[in-house]
Amino acid sequence: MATSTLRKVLAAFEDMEGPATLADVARRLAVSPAQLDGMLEYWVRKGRLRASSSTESACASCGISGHCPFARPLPRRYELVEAGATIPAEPPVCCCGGAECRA
Amino acid sequence: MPLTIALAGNPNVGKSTIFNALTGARQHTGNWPGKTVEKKEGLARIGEQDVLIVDLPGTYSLTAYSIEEIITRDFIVRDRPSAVVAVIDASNIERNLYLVAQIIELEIPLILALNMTDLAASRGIAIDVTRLSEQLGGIPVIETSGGRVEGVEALRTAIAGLAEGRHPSLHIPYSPEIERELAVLSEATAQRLPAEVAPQPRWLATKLLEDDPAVLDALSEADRRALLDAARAVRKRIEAETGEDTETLIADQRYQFIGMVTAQAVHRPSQVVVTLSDRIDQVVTHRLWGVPIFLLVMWIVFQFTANVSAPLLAWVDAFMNQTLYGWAGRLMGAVGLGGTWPEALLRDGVIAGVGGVLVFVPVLFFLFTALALLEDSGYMARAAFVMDRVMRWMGLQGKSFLPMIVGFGCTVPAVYATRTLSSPRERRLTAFLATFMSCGARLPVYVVFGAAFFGAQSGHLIFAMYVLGIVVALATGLVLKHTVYRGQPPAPFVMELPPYRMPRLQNVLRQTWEHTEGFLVKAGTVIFGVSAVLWLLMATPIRPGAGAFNDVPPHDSIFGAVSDAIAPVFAPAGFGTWQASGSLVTGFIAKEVIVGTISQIYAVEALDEPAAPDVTVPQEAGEAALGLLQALALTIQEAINIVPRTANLIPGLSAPELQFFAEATAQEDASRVQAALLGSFSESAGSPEAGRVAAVAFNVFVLLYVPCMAAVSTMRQEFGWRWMWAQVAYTLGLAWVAAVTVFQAGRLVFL
Repeated sequence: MATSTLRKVLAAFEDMEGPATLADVARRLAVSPAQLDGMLEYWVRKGRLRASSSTESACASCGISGHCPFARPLPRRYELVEAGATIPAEPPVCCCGGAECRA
Repeated sequence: MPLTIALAGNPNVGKSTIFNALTGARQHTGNWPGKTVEKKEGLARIGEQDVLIVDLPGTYSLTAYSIEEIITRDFIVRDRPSAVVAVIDASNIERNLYLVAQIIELEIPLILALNMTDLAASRGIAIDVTRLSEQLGGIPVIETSGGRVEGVEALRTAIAGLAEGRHPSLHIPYSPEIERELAVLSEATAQRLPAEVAPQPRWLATKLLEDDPAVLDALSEADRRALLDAARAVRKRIEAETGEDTETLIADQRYQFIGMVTAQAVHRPSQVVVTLSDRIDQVVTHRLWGVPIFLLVMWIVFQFTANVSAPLLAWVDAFMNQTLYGWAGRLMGAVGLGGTWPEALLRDGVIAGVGGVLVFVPVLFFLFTALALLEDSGYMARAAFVMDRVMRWMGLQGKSFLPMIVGFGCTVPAVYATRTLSSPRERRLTAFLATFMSCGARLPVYVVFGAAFFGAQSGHLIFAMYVLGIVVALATGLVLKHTVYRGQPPAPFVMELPPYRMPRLQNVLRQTWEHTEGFLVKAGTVIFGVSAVLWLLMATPIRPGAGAFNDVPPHDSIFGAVSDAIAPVFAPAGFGTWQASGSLVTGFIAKEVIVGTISQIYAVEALDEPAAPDVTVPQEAGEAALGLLQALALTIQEAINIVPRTANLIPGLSAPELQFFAEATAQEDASRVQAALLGSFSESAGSPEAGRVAAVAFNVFVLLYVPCMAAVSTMRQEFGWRWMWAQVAYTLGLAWVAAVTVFQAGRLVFL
C-alpha cells in the first residue's frame, strides 16, 4: 500500500533532506496543512517521525516562567526516524537554562 | 432522566464560547477525580427541560495517547451522554474532522457546531453546510461562529431534536478486507460481551484492530485475553493480505473518508488569499527595503528608550542621589551615627551603588516595552526573516538571528536560545556572536555617557552602540566562516511568519514587568553585594600611612591601587584612569555594576552637599512628588515627540516638536556623576573634545568585552572550556583593539 496517503507522507520525508515543517511538507504534497497536520502527528506517535519543539517550553530559572518576551515560538519541525532506530529523549528547550529547566 | 450533552473538539476551537452561550452564568468548574485536566459542567434550559452540558478537554483524537483523549473517550463510552456536540474550527476543518470521524464510530447522536467560519472566510475557505451534513450521513451541522445568538439558537433546536430521539447514523466505510474482519471481530465481541457492557461492538472491534487494548480495561481477565487473542489473529490476517500495518490502514482510510467529505463540501481558493499581513510583509520583508526598515525600527526603539525615559530617569536620579541620600544622612545623625563608617557604607556604598543602578529602571522599562510591542505585533519574526540573507552571507541562517535578538535582553538566555538550532556548528557560532549584542545591562552605561557627553543627542550614541554590536557580530561571523568553518554551508531556514496583530496591552505590560522585576531583583542581590564589597575596598587604605579606614582618598584605597595598576593598559584608548579601569574590572561580575561603580567612586570623591537646614522632610517629599508629576508629563510629551523626530529623518522636512515643559528638561544635565565623568575623561584624554572621543571608545570597550560572569559560565556549560576561553580572549582582545582604534582614529578625524 505504498500509495496510501499516510505512506506518501513518509515517502516525502524520505525524499527530503533534513527536517521540515508542516508547511513545507504540505506544499510538497499539495495538500492543505490542516489535512496533513494529524498525519504527521500519527507518524510521530508511531515513532517514524521525530518532532522538534520550539522555544515555547517553560523557562523556570530566570523568573520569567515561560513568558519570556525574547523567546520566539517557532513551528514544529519533523524529521524521519530510520526504521528500528530508537528516538532519543529530547532535552528541554529553554531560553534561560537554569537548574530547574535542565533537570 | 435529564439530558446530558458533551461538548467535544480540538483544543482552541471555541468550545468554551459555545459552552458559555448555552449555559449562561450557570456553569461551575470541577476537576475529574485524580486528574489534572479540567472539565466544566453547566445547566442549560432547552425547550421545557434542564440539560446538563459537559465541556470535555480539547483533544485531537480518541486514541489512548494522552490524558485528554482517555478522559474524553471514557466519558463518551462509559457515561453515555445523550448526545455529543462536536465543535470544529472551520478554518482547519480536515484536522478537526478526524476527531469527528472517531466520534461517529462511537454511534452516538452527534451534532456538528461549525465554528470560526469568519476566519475560514477570510482565508477564502467556503464550506457548504448542507453538503457537509449530507456527506456525514445527515448529522445536523450548525454554524456557530463567535457564539452569535442565531447560531446558538439553532444549536439549541438541534439538541431539542435529538432529545426527541431523531438522529441519523453513519459508518465510516473501510476497505473490503477491513470490513470483512471487522464483521468477524464485532460478532466475536457481541457474543462474548452483553449489550450493556459493549453497546457498540463495531467500535470496540475497530479499536482492537488499532491495537488499543485500553478499551478492554474494564473487562474480566478472561474476556480481555480472549478478545485480544482474536484481534491479534485478525490483524495478522489483514497484514498478511495487505502488507501493511492494520492501524495505519484504518487511520489512512479515515483520512480518505475525510478527503472525500471535504472534496464535496469544502472549497479552497486556487490562489492564496492576500491578507493584510501579506500586504504589510510585501513592504516589511522586501529584499531591498527590509533591512533599512529593520534599522529604522531599531532606531525608533532606541530614540523611544532614551528620550521617553529621560525625564523619569532624571527624577529617580535626583530622588536617589539627593533626597534619599540626604534622608539617610539625617536618619544616621538622628540615631547618633552621623560621620561614622556605617553612615558612609549606607550612603556612599549602598545608596550610591544600588541607587546608581536603580536610576536606570525607567530606561529598561521603556526598552522592554518597545521590544514587547514589536514581539507581540509579530514584527520580531520578520526581523529574523529579513536578516536571513545577511546571516547567510556569514554562514548562518535567519533563525540564528533570533538568539541574537534575545541577546538584546540578556546574553545568558541568548546562549541557551541557540538550542533551537539543529546544527552544533551553528549553535556554537550563534552563541559566540550573540555576546556582541547589547544586552539590557550595557544600556545604563550608554545612557550615562550619552547624557554626559552628548546631551539631547544621547539616542544617537545608544543607537550607534546597538548597530555596532550587530556589525561586529556579522564581521566575526564572516571571519569564522572563512576560517574555522570554511566550506560548511548553513542549514536551510524554515520559518512560518505569524500574522500581524494589535499588541495586547496585558501581554506587553506583563512581559515588561517580568523583565524589569528581574533587573530589580538583581539590584537587590548581586549589585547590593558588590556595592558593599566595593565600598569596603574603597574605604580600606592600601598601605599604612595612606589614611585611616573610611577616611582615605579613593586613589589610595585597595580598589584605587589595583585599578591604578591596570589603568595604563587603557591609556591608548583615552581612558587610562583608575576610575575607568576599576569600573571595567567590576563589570566582569555584571555590566550593571559598571554604572554602580562609577556612581560610588564619584560619590566618595564628591563633597557632600548638606541639605538646606530650613527644608523639612515633608517639604522634600512634597517636592519629590511634584517632580514626579512633572517627569510623567514630560514622558508623555517625549513619547508624542517620537513622531515628528522620526519624520524629521526625511531630508528637507522639519516637523515641530512639543515643548510644553521645556524648562524642566534642564535638570537632565544636573547629575553630579555626569559632571564628574566629563571632567575625568577630558583630563585623561587631554581635552574636552578628546574626552568625548574617549567616552565613545569606553562605550565600545563595554559593548565588546566579556559580557559577564554568568554568560561566560553559560558558554562553558553549553560548549566547554575551550570555547569559553576562546570567547574571553577574543572579546577582550577585540574590545581593546576596537577602543584604541576608535580613540586614535577619532582624534585624527575630529580633532
